Amino acid sequence: MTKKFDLKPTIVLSAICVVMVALLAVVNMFTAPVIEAAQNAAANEALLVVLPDGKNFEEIDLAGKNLPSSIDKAYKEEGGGYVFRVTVTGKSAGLMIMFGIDKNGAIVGTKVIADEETDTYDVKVFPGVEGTEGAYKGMTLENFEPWLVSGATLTSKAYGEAAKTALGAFAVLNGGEVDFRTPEQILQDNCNAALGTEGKTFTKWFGLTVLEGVDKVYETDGGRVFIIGESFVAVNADGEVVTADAADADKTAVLNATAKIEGITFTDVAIPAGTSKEKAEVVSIQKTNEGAYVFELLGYGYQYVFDYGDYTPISIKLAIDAQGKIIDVLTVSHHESQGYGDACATEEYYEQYLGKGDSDIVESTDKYPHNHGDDLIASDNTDVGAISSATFTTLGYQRALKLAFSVFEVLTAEEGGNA
Amino acid sequence: MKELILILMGGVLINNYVLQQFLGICPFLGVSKKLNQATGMGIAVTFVMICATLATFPIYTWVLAPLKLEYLQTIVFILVIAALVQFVEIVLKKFIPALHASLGVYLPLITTNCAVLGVTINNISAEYNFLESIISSLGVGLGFLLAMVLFAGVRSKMENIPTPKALQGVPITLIAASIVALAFFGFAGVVEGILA
Amino acid sequence: MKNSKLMIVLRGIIMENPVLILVLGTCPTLATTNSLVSAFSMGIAATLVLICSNAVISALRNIIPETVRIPCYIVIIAGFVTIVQMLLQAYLPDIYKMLGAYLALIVVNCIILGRAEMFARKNGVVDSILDGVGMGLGFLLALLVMAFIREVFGAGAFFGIELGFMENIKIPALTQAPGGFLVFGLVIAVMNKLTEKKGGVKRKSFSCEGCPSAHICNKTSCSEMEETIQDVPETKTAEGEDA
Repeated sequence: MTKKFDLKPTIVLSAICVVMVALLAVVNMFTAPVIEAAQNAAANEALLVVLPDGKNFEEIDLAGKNLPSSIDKAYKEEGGGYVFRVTVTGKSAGLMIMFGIDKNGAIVGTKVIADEETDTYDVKVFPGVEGTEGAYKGMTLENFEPWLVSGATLTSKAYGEAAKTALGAFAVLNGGEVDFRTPEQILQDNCNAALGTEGKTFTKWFGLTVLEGVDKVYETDGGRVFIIGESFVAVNADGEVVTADAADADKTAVLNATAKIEGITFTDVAIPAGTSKEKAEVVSIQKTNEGAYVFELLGYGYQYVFDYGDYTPISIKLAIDAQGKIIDVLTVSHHESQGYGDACATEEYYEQYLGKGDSDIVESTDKYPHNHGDDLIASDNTDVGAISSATFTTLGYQRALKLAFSVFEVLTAEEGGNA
Repeated sequence: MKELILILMGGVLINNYVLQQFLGICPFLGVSKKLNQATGMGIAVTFVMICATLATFPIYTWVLAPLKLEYLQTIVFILVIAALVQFVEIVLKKFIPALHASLGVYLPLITTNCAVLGVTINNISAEYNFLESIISSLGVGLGFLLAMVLFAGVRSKMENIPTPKALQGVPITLIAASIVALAFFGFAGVVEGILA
Repeated sequence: MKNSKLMIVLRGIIMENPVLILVLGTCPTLATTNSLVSAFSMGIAATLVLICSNAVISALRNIIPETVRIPCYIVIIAGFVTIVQMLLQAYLPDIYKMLGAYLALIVVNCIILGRAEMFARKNGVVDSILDGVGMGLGFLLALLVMAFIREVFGAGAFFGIELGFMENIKIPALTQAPGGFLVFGLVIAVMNKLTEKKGGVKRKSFSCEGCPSAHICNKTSCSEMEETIQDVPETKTAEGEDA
């Protein structure tokens, strides 16, 4: 090794580096704009599906915009239109849907980009709403109407909620104020406000007696909330009215109602012999001090899985007053098919029974089919208690209620005899 | 923590560079005849991979990306790795001669090892942070070591097997590699399954 | 004269096929041959880089000093690889995405550095370009043979077009990693058989023949290295140094 350092290798290597880097820089000058344009086009492609006229989309930072968390991405385009990506829960894990909204706040197009729903429901819902000619085309927040599909209620409802959320987000980003809560959440919030609590969950009180001047009762572990017309009046665990702005008449009504509810006592009643029935069962009977009977019933509905179904128990709670009229009915548990028989667990379903008697409920004479079949859907009826597209559930429910009425008659006849 | 374990195990088993991604095949086939050689090469590669990540990640993140010079990535990375290997060799020779004696012979071969360049490029494109990049390099290196050691074992068994003339040498080695790769095939989904 | 030029091209394609005879560039051969489209793209990209780098290195062969020639070659090759990368990303983004990191890894493809070291630095520009064409086409041909077998029998398709009659007899594992090794081994075995009787064809082994690192090792074959290693006294393992 000589001490003299040879500079030539260093110079040549450096020169080659410089020349190559310069060459790359030149090529980059030509290709960089093309690459950027291509990448923008790819990113915009998904957005253009739902908003074909959009130009120069730009993602919006959602932090601090006061939007519900279900909106996970938002893009604004040059002309004032928006695209929102909304995640909602349908039956199972959820849907991710893109909504394109034009500058006037009307939906232009929708597109599902990820979904965990069962294929059966997809087929029923998505063809009707997808793209730029779907059911939500042209809807604004003012004329919004959810597009519900019978047989895929939850999925289509979730889709509608997402659409409404997107419209709401559009309004908020344009300076409006929107209530993103669902009716259920509003009810719970009103109940909490009336009782002066926060975050408590209220459940509907099962009607054991008819309450004068009160429409509905919701209860939680710290008290009850009475709904009278539009107003919510709360009574705490100590029996005091806590809603300060309640009208005096309402206060009296709720105190009376509270006393009446608290005063109810039960006695167990033996199930009379000889009242059994096929595919329906009385589990227990209690009698209140007011002469009303409370039945725990078991009906048999139907769960339709893929192409095979089977009878499944529906657990029902039923209260009949001394005059033989239904005071309240509740589906305690069920396994009915989503979008079909599961309607038997909704408030709308219970309400149609209130005040009805034995003769109002006509037990369908349809025979129980023994296996799956399309014919069961065809025999829809419009009687009290009938659920559209769910003949099995309707039959099972009505059968159980009719059994309760026949037992009720035996019990009241016994009483009459004894008296 | 869970992500780091996933990255590590992903490098070792699921995305094994040699057996699933076909990176670093030359040393895998060339230097796996003897177990001690295979181990030495594997350790040297792991070592260089981590060093290379320690060097290239900061250069990319704090020099190339802010200056919008991402297109120089390939040219810079390969030069950095080449220089690094030379540097490591000099340092080892001077300060840890014992280690140089056992690893030194492998180092020059590593300059053009595509697994080393591959892991630095993949760390960038996977958008890992610095710690994740290092863990990923460690996992990939250990995966390489594992593949080398396993395959050295397989080859030592193959040595005395009578082989048809046309299959002797390269072909039978590749077919053996195919069977080892088949075994690694089974790891897909296992790590997520265990941690889930 | 004309004949010898043709020979330079043909040598790379057949007699000294870089993949099937010299067993170089194994990584891309295995990694990009699961479909004909990616194999074709990789073959063309590598050929372009090889031709350009061979031409430039040959032109500069009297300027580049012996001591730093490998770094110089690496810079030149990396430069052309990056140009190909940028052009693909701009005009054929799908192919750019498909080849992924393997595109950048053309830099370390032994064939390219090997041709620079063994041919371009000793020959004229025209010959070097022809050598690049021949070797590049040889590489492309080998990739297409591999990819044809793997795509037709593994995926039941030809250049992405489904072949109906393969539907029930395809072997999906062939498109995966194990299939790559297997098909490569079998193709080389067939080449062995075919070239067995002909003289003048080089014996295939994992030698330093064409290995660009050979000069750094100062060995003529890796088996020599083995001997060196066996002479090395057992030392403590280096795991401690890894952390």
